[in-house]
Amino acid sequence: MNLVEPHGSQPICDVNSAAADLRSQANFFQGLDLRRLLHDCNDEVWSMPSADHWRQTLLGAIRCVELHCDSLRAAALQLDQQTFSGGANGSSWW
Amino acid sequence: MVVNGTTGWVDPARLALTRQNLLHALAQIDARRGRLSGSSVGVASTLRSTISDDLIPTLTRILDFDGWHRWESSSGLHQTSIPTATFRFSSDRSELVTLVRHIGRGAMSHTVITALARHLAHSGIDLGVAEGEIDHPGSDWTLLLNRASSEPSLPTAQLLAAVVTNDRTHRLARSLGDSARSDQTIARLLERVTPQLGDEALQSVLITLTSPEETNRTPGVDPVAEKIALNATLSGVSTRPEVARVLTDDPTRLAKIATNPFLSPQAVEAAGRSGMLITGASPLLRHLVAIHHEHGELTAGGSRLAATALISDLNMIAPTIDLPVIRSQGPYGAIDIGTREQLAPLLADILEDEPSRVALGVALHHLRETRIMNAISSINSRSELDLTSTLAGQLADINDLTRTFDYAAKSAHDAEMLRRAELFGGIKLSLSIAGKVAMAAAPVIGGSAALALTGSRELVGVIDVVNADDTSPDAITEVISMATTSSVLRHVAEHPVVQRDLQLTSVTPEIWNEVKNIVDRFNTASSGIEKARVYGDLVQLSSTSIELTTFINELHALSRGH
Repeated sequence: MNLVEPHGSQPICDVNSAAADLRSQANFFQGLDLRRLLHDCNDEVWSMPSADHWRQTLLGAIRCVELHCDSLRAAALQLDQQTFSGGANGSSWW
Repeated sequence: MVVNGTTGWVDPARLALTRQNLLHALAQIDARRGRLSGSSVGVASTLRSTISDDLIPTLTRILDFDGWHRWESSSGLHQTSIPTATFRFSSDRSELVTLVRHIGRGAMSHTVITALARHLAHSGIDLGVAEGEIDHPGSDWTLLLNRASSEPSLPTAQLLAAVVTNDRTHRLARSLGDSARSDQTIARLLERVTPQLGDEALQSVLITLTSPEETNRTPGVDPVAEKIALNATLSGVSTRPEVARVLTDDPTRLAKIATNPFLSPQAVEAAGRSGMLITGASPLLRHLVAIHHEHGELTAGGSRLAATALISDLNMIAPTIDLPVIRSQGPYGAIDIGTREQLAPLLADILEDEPSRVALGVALHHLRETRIMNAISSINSRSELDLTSTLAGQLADINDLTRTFDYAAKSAHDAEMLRRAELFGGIKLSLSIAGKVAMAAAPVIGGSAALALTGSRELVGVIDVVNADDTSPDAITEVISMATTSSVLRHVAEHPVVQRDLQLTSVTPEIWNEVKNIVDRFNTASSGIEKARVYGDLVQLSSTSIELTTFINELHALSRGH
């Protein structure tokens, strides 16, 4: 878990590097900004069957990635909770 | 997308940017891949393959698809010439169908529609629009048909023609014909589309429009729409014999058009004449005689078609025209046209129709000239033959024809009035038809019928002339005789071999040259009186040779007497 100063963005300490790495991976996938690509596909201008197919494929990929990101964050949160409760030694990879 | 006025497609710049973003995402994945956990590597790999194998190639295809177009300059950046639109079309049929659907909804410009129509026509692409329920209000076919009929423009008509022509099932053509029969707007559309339809598609339309009432006929036929559609289709097949033969080969379909009083006589005759090129004139005439016998009458178009068929094979029909059964030659040998009793009422109808009467009279004159030429050729090749008897034999059929026509005319309602009229009194039987023709032809000879049917320009010229100066009926007959004699003389003057065979060798070349000059003057004379005067010069010239005088007198007598 990263603790962030009230007026800054730099972590001042890393209580669980594994959880931080999971969040970092989630942030990486989120940073690909796949949703923005989807927003470029507007129904009024996309009308060809192949464009429709393209949009569906992209949407499937986004859902898969978002599901994975959710899992990564859930795993990170779980690690944080285990650290605070003393039930974990912070050694496991999700 | 909006590209120079063309609306309704994907913005290529936006798509190109999206593709760039995907490539960037690929680069990011590759850079980060080594620092991902096992499950994230799996997700990243899946995402990577989706982007590289599916999303980017599909996007590229959309970008290459030519539903939209670019304006391309042909001579560099700094020129001022008008740019031309260029198109590339997808090889994916479903995309083209979608484009057609957009057109059906009115979303595309004429430039795109024209380009697509040409692409489909040129590449012979069957879009498969005929698959499924084409009659459904939301079907691609219905949308396109409604668009083309509500927006009468050439591009939509071209597109419709291309779609229908390339439909291998011919369902669309049948649907078009069927709709045109019950909807005047679609019938008008068919008028515009017909010239661009392929032969097979046009044939399917024609078959649908002429199908018997009990077959494939949807209820609610609008007679006006049916008339518009049939007239358009008949005109359309007038230059396509292979399509028109559907009518001339099938007595049932032929009966439908030859007895339909709403159809244009010109369209019926033109379509029938076209099919006749394949079917043959005599078989067509046989069908028409039977149809006339069964229905009791033909329409003006039907009568003219019968006249056309009769005239076309007049030379073959003439020898039996006066016998109980009239016989001719069909494509597969001798063929019975019908009995004299069956043919006579049809002839009566033909003689009642003025253009047909004109054409028949001109054809009779033409046949007489042909037979005179035949006689000359015969004695040319067989020296033992005598010109007078040979000519008499050749002209015997003409006599039979005129007698048959007169007999038939007697059965026409107004024939007696015609014959009793002072106008024709005293004119010899054999020339009475020619005289009638000359008088009847005057108002209409400028039309196409007589010219197209016989090609006898000389008689047409004569008729124009006698009409111009109100030549009297007797004088008309005389002028026609002079024209026939002049025509024969020119033939003899131009063929020294014939001169020898006719024992006219004592006539010097100078005299023959002078004969040709006088005949030329006769042909160009612009009034009956002037023609008579020029003919007088010919008679005067002939007095320099006893042989020539005898020959001309003989010809003139034959022209008048048969």
